[in-house]
Amino acid sequence: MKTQVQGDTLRVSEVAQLGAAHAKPFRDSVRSALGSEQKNIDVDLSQTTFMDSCGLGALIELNKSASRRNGRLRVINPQPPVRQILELTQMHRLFEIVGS
Amino acid sequence: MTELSTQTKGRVLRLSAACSLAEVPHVAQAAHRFLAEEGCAETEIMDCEIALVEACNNAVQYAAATARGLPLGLEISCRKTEIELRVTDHTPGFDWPKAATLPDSDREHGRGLYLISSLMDEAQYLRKRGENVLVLRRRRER
Repeated sequence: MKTQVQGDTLRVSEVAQLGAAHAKPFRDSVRSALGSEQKNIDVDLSQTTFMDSCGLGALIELNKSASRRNGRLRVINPQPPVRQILELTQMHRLFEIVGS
Repeated sequence: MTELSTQTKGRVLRLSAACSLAEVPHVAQAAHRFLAEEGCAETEIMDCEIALVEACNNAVQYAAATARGLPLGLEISCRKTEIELRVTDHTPGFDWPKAATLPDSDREHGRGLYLISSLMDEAQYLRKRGENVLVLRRRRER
């Protein structure tokens, strides 16, 4: 996983898997990469081949972290299997899903 | 541990996996390969893979402390008209809900059964002494 600061946004990319075994370390890594200047989180899921409801839980927790800073979480370019989970669970109501 | 066999109604993949969340993606990959070899459509494979992952996650996360050394049992049958998934767990078991619903959108947990119910045409949870079997069926596309 790679994190990159772009102004007030933390961009997260190269996330290979977001399953139950990886959800908590992923959430903790992103939270610890958030500096005091960043309020938004962009999670690029274009390389994520596996996600389950626990991975979804991690995204929901990060959305809360961003909201507490008056920011927002965006999910970028999810691939079809991941997009299907996001759509079935109506995550567009909670955060923005961009691309693909 | 993987075993492939052929029955009169189609081929069956039997898997035995350690009771660990780290094993679940490997189980999903094996199921994906098998269903692709059987000529299933990408949507059928995707639906079964997600349902199987959620079922396995539950089986691992709620396994009784005394049963963590016992493997998960998985069986995938591919027939002309339907795909059947069977997951054997060693949890205390629970009552399968008549209608699985989505939790409040900001809740972190509680979407697994909803995903399974949404993607599968039929779900039966058979509670037994010492183990339970979740039977999931999805009709094939024509």
